[in-house]
Amino acid sequence: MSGRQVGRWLALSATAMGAFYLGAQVERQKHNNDDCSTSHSRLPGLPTFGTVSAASLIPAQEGNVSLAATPSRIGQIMKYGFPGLDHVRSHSDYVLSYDRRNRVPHWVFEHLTAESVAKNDAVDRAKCDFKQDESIHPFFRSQNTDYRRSGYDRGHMAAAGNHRLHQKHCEETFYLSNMAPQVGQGFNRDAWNTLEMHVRKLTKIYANVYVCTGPLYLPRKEDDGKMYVKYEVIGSNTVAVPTHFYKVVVGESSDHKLHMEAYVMPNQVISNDTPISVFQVPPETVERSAGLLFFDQINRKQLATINGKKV
Amino acid sequence: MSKRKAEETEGETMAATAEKLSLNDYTIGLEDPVKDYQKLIETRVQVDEIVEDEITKENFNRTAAAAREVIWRLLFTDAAKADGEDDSRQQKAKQLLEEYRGDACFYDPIPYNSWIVKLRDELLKREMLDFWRDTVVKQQLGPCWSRDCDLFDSDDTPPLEFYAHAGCTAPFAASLKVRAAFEHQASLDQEEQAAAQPSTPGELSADDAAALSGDFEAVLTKENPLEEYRTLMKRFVLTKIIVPDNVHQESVKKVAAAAREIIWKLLFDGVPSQADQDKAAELLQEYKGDAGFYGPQDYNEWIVKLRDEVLTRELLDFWREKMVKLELGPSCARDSDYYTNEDPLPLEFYDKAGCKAPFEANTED
Repeated sequence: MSGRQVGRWLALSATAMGAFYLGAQVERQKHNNDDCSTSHSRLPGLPTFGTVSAASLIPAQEGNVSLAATPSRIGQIMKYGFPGLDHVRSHSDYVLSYDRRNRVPHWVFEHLTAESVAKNDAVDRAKCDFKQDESIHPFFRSQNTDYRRSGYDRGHMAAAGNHRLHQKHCEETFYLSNMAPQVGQGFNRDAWNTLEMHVRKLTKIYANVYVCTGPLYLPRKEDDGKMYVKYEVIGSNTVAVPTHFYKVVVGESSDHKLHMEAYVMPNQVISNDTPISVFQVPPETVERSAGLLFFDQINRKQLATINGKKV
Repeated sequence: MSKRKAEETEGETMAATAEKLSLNDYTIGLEDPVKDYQKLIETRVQVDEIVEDEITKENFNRTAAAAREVIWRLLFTDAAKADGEDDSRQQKAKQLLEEYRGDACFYDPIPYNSWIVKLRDELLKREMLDFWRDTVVKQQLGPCWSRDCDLFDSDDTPPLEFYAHAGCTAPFAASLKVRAAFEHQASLDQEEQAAAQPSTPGELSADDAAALSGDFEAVLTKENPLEEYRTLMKRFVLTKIIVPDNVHQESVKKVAAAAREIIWKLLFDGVPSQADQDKAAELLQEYKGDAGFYGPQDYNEWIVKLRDEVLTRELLDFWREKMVKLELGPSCARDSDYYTNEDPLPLEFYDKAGCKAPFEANTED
């Protein structure tokens, strides 16, 4: 092999190797970029939940009102954990888990501040309409016709009066997916409303109030001595009429102490002179009957009070 | 939205739109206005298919407008002012007003609430005081509110003022006063209660603590073994608290051993009296039932030993009348969910001293 041949062969192989490494480098670059873009895109329909450190109090003053269900707002509302993950839907100011079998919520979660429950002239309840939730499959949707002349109200789980930062927040509480059949006079429009007002009043004491609301289907002993769960269903969509409703509330005081209250009220006429404290129950009894855990990010021993009693 | 959902709703929406275009007539006649009105509601508003809310709302609005117009005409148009005629027209107006208000409470109270004020003013202007008193006030046909409509709650101001005309007051005024007094009292009570007592968490009862630790004595006497056995089970096994499985099993075994021991004594400490035989059989039956639930292996082994001892001692009455007749042999699919049809029945256990099992063999499929 002559010197020239060797030189040519060396040049050739150097070119080939150079080309190979250059190509590999370009490929790697491209791959890295791909990685970046896929890691940020989400599968459609899967909610992302912002994480919020439970150690920091959320400032009560919200500079801007979000009109979309932003991850940060959902993270705030769900700060203390999800009671369950069945058909979770997020609205701009509350989060809901929908019970497709019963056509009512499993639970709704809200985060209230003095500002968000304050009377606001820019928000008019009368402009809101009860409307079907198009995001629910037609098989499992409740409709106005189910409730009409059923003897029951379209009872809000997330109360309209809790969402007064913006008209849209209020309107979104009127989706029928946020309703359950409630006895009207003597309950929805009275005793239950009194409890809702009580929870709103807690924002005067606590900077942040977190509340989970939902239905219960409690067993009753019948004449044969056995226990049965029995509840009415209304309309052609057979919307379940819960036997009771619960609210589990946590207030964050300014000294970072946590105070819990839990209520269970029967879905029936309750006389106006009954104080709501009568309906206070230990939170774990609600958890057992609901099949859910409320505020499970809080160790119960960390609470300062439960139903007004020191822990 | 899933594809399947999209297809379904699309078809329905098209149908609804077509219906809306072809049925543009919302006439309510003066002959039988309530019936006409109800028919409109039934066919255009109270529809069981899924229809877009805008369409339902629009259909109700048009029906409501027609109803309002007819009520106005029935009351205030001087068509035929013959006496009887007037009465029947007012009667029709009253019925339609009641019917329409009921629906307005559900579908759309706001237009009703503003229109009924105009109607009232017109009634008072024309001095139609009978209709005002006996119909509007007495039947509470004023603005919809939380008493009759789920769009309102007790936060909202009740329409007291509406009724305070021509010497009338709202029929519900008194109850509101009472209610306000109650609420005042309730708020006072709550303030009193605010000084809350610290509470001690619930202590475990002694029995529950024993059940949790498995630390209890299980001894039965010849006096009343069945009762004693039941009491032990109730106190230390059938508790409402959560006990670890291994502790629970030990407790069951402990009570079961006590039952076996006392049965053995009742039967084999000398010659057993009829009373002792009855007691032994009673307890054996109860124990067998529990064993069938908690796990029958121990019972099934031991019952063979008991049978052999019974036959050795020639307690043939006990064998025939109790063990065979009452089916006190090994646990099986007839009395326990530990077994299924596929498991062989313990026929040969009873095949002694001329006896047969009190049940048939499994039928072969």
